[in-house]
Amino acid sequence: MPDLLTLAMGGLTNGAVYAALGLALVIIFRATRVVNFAQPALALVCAYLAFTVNRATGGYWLGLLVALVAGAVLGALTERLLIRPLRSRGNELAPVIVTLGLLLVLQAVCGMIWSAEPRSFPYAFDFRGAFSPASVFVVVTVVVVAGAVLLLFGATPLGLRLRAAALRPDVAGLLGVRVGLMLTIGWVLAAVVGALAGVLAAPPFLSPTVLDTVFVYALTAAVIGGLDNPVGTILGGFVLGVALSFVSGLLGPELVTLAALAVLVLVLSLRPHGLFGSSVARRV
Amino acid sequence: MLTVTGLVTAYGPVPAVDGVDLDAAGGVVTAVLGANGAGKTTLLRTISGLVAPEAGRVVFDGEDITGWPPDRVVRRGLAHVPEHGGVIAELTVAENLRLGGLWRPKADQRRSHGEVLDLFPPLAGRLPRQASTLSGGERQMLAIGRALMSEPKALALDEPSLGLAPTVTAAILTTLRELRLTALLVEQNARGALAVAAHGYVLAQGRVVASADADTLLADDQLRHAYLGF
Repeated sequence: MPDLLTLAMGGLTNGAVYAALGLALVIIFRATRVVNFAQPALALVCAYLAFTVNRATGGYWLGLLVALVAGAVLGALTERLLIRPLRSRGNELAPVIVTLGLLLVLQAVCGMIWSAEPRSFPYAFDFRGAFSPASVFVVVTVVVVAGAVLLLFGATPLGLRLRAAALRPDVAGLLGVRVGLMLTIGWVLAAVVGALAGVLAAPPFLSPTVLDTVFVYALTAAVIGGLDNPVGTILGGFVLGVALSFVSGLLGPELVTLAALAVLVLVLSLRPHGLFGSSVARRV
Repeated sequence: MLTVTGLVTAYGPVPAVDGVDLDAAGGVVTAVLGANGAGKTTLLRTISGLVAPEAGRVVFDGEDITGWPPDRVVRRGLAHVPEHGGVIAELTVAENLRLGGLWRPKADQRRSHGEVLDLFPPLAGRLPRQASTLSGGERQMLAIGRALMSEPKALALDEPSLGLAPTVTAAILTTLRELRLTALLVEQNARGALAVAAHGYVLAQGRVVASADADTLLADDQLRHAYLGF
């Protein structure tokens, strides 16, 4: 019988990563009503860049910084070059399909550049033990970043502009908000949070598909939380992480994916807008 | 203050605004009247940059603003209160108000905020509430107050009386006149609009069919019957 505390701590660490990647999804969904399937691929490119820098310098932090900057650049480029040209067409599905395509392309490119072989990727700190410094670092970082993002949206002029541009782009423009710029900022913000999640999720081994399962659980967390709701998604990520950790430890690791599906089906049949989502959908 | 020349705006092959010339003088209300579908809303949306014109010019305060994006037009001093007010229901009353002048220096924002609450006292007690909880009249006050947060040189209003009780409409229109702002007022409620306006234009099928002093328009029975329906 595994130690319950160890399972809970492991679950929190995984859950933190689901929460961060889920938060990235929610930021973009709120701003542009697009589920960004390319999110894990953007994060993957950033993690690989961190890997390259890590190997060249031998340190951890410069790699993390490079990953975050790369995330910002990739987020801005994706919005400006791929998503924005589709916005005027008024087709809701087109941008989603484009992000799916981008996912496949970027994963393949990563494989071509860094090979499909798993590369060893460092932890920030010592990873041994139930309350290892590495685990604590992951959880604390995600909680702090999530708090900062919520504060940015809820309590700053920029956050007010971002929300207004997301809710009513036409009206926001009439009020002096540069709506296009706000959408780009939303994508940048999301891609930076995603890059962080990628770097935190990658250890011990980085490979082109390492973030696939993480993304599935992040998406589950976001849907459980209500795709519109950042707080719900963050909570959803942690709850899902701990729940899956218990399933894995007590019932067997082969049941984890099944359990995630069961949670998803259960939540969606009881509360179709997610545990914390509002029941009113806005059609744009 | 605001001069529109030969403005043409089309949705597809059908022009909604078809060669409109219009002049809104400084410090008074200019009314734009007409039935549903006459092109009034499209005219305002073109002036404020929400739609691009096919032809023509919009000159505001001595500067050609044709084709500017809406955020630039409002920063230049022309605020547009859209049909139904455009209050963002998911935000609080205070957040809606703040949005109106976010780019201005903090001190100016505070001064305008005080002025708006003096002008519309009902808003003062409802600042922390969701805008969705406001009544129709309060929403319209919020929409106009929010536009005033930018301390505009001119105000473009799209049917502020829509769906409101006549007394509320009268109060809002009177406030508008007392502000002595340059205002372009689009209305179906012709009698109310002309009561506060100095000059009026009548639009039909995207063209100006009459332009005269407000009093003259009110007195012209034939025109009223033909285009304004009262």
